[in-house]
Amino acid sequence: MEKPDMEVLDRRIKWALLMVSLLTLVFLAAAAVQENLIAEWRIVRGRYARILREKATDDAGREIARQFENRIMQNVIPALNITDRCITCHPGIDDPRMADQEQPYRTHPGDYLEKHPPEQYGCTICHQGQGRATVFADAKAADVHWDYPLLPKEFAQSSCAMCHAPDAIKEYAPLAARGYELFVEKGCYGCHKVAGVGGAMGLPLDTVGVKKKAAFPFAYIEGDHTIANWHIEHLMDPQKIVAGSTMKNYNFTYDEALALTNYILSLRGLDLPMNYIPKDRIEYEYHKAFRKALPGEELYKRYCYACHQDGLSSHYDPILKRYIPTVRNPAFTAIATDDFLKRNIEKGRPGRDMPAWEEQAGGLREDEILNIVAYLRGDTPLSPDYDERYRASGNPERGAFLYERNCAGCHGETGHGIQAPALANRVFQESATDAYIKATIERGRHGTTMTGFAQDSPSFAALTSAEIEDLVTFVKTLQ
Amino acid sequence: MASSALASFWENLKGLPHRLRDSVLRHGAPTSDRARSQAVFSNFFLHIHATRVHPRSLGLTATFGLGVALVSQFIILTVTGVLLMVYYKPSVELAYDSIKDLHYVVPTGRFIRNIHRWAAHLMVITVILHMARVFFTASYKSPREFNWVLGMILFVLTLMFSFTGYLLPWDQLAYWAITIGANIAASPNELVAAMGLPEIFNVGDLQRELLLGATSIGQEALTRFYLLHVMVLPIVMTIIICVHIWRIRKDGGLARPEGCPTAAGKGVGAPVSEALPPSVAPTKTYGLMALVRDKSPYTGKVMDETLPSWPYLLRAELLVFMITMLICVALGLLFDAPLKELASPDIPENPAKAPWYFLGLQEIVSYSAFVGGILIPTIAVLGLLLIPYLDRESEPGGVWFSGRRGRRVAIESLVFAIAAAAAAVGIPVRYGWLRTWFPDIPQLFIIIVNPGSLLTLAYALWSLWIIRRFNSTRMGAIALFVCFLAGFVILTYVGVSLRGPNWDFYWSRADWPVH
Repeated sequence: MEKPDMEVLDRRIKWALLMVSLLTLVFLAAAAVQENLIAEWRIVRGRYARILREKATDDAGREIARQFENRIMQNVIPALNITDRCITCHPGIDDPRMADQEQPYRTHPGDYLEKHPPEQYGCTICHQGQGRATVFADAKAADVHWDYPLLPKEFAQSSCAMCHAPDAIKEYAPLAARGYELFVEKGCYGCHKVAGVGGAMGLPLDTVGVKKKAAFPFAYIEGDHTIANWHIEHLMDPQKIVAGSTMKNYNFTYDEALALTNYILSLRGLDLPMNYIPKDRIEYEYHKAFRKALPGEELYKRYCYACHQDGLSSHYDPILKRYIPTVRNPAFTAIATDDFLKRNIEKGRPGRDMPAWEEQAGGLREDEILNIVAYLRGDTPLSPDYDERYRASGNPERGAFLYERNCAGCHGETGHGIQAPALANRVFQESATDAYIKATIERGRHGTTMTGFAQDSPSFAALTSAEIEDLVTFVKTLQ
Repeated sequence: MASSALASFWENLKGLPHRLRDSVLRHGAPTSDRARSQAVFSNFFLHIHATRVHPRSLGLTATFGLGVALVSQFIILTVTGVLLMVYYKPSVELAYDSIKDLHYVVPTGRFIRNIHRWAAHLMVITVILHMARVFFTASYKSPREFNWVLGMILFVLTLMFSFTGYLLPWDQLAYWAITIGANIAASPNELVAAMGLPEIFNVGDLQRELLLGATSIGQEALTRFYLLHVMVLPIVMTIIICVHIWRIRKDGGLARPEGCPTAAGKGVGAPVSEALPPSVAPTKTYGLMALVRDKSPYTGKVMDETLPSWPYLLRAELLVFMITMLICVALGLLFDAPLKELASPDIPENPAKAPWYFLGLQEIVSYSAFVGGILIPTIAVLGLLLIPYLDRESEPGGVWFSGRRGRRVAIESLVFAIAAAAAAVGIPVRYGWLRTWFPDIPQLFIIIVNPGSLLTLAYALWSLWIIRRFNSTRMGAIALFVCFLAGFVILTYVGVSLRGPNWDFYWSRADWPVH
């Protein structure tokens, strides 16, 4: 390579160096402009400064306008792990003069801020969204990576019920209060535990309100892919949203689903410092902890109705694909002792759908369970010809033969239960006496395909009492 | 006395600026070539350069400036990294929030984090390109074998830097990428299980716990990744970079083809008849100044056609630095570094993907964690590391692909490597793998015979065949390196673009099932 070439090369290098350096400076300048002049929050606050000056009609107003600075404002509340910069772009929330302004400058509606000063509560504790963000799209967090996007207005009441007692908020959060009523009325506790009370078929809901967006399956959601909308569509048609779900479909209306969603979203685990928990909530929790047993009918509605309905007849449940047996029909209660009912409620049927309701499982106290037993019994005494002391001593082999022909179709060949109850179940075997089994075989179970075997039925010939004894003997050997 | 001392104090005060400058620089602006050489030689920061440089080394295609670009990126990463450390809090409770604060409120925080992130990606790309440049110009040959080894160590260190840095934001991306890493560390367990050995042989558990400092990913893992990222790796890397650059000089500068002065004759041109006047006789031991190799000056010979490093080399280096800077600044301004939701152990990312440069690895890990995550990478790194010791044919350094024959081998190998990699990915996707065909074969067999290991084997056999065909180890080395590069690119592309939830194959992201 000759020297002149080198000179050419060197000159090119010099020029390139100059150009590249200038271009770098341009980008640095652009970064400086982006950060210091055209940042979204600066523009928003700049406009607010103008509004403040326009509204400065008295000395106080002029002083506010004079003191206003264009910088990031934030509420930091370590106790709640909150750093909220929302007030940077919503500086007018506590200024009543801004009631006529467009967002983001409008005064916060209602007297919420008086009772919940933002410097003590922040904003995201109620509204969710990304408090640290200084860009609106990121604060709203609808399409950015953030677990809890801004709660849409129609679900804001869920935040009231997050801290306040759900039965004390009718005035200011009627939707959430209505949601709680529906939750109790419709028997949601029958499958879902909240604070340790409830059935075990569904998921416990104590922290369902802080379940993250990524944990929801959105594949069949037609509307917005938001957590709130997921709950609404799921409540209105559970099996459409989650294939194979065993959640009961109540055909809720949109309004009911909206109310329920408001309540469901309020279940955020109440993970707050004690001094943030309002008195009404403390009272509510106290009365829950030291409650008097409600009447049996009320308890039945809460905890049993969802599956057993009115309990007067058995019915086939298409979602669970099985018969749900009657529990209040006189034909049943006439042969079921209180002890049998109590033990079955307490222990449930392990491995089957009926959960255990005793205190360490479903959370019901003994007095509550006794009230339920009393309600089930109603006015029906034990049948006079029902002899609890009866002991079957038939031929189990003949019983097995009879079982296979008459019972196995519904109860399963090994008694594990198909659409009919499991007979090989531990609790059934412990609580069902020979007398009860015999009486049930003789009389059948009202409203199910289990007809009484004492007489002929369309499907089965009558069994003699000796055959029934054989059958009872065999059933007691199932395990 | 007092007054004259005062006067001299006054004089000293007046002379302070230039004396200070002189004491720092030790000489004025150099005006002659020799003075410039001396300046480079006597300056702590510049003396890592040779005092003179061959014009060929300054040409674009000689190096593409990749080495200098890497140093530039390392400097940019160090500076931005230190700035990030001012705000970053290495705690599982605070890390994510501190990144959010950096992004939203720290002055220039977002810009600096973006630059740090993109410069890190850029460094991985550049280190691979640099490696390719050195390889294809045969610059790893004697006496530069060990510098190639140092380069491989720097390559691995760069990846370790990226991997440890990935966890620090403590977001979903970080958490699940590290989960993959931790599972790879634990993967020898699958071999132990497949061989039916007792659990005491589970070295995987030990490796995993060493990596994480606990049985699950948490504060301990964050602490040690942070420590590695900001302290251990930077120190090790700085030292090795220094040795790497120092070795370039000690090994005779950049590799040059014949016709250019060799390392042995560096700085020495053809003899001339005229004797030089005494005035240009050397005043210093030129050997020490690396003008010539021996201690005594070569008399009766003129300087060859080399140029003084000051200003030609320095200016070229500055240009590369500024180009790197420009790319980083532009990327940092235009694109935000990713940050996903807060790390959440109960919500797995699906698909959970490692950083892009590990996705080729993750692709073969999907066949077998041990073979894909440990065995093949170890073989690949060892294979690359040993190339200069296995291919010892003397070559004109600095010639791309060692001439036309090498170019032909490179193209053939490229076609072969792409076809083999595509087959390794495509066949299991289209037709299933051994388990689908022979449901009863032992797991150990499946672990060892998988598309990844077969691909590695195919590449190795191809290279051996090239060695035999051309009767040249250099040709075999070219074949192997092209296979490595092409395999890396193809598998990385598959991992980045064609793999969706459950690591299933999708032609487009639009086909992914909605979650």
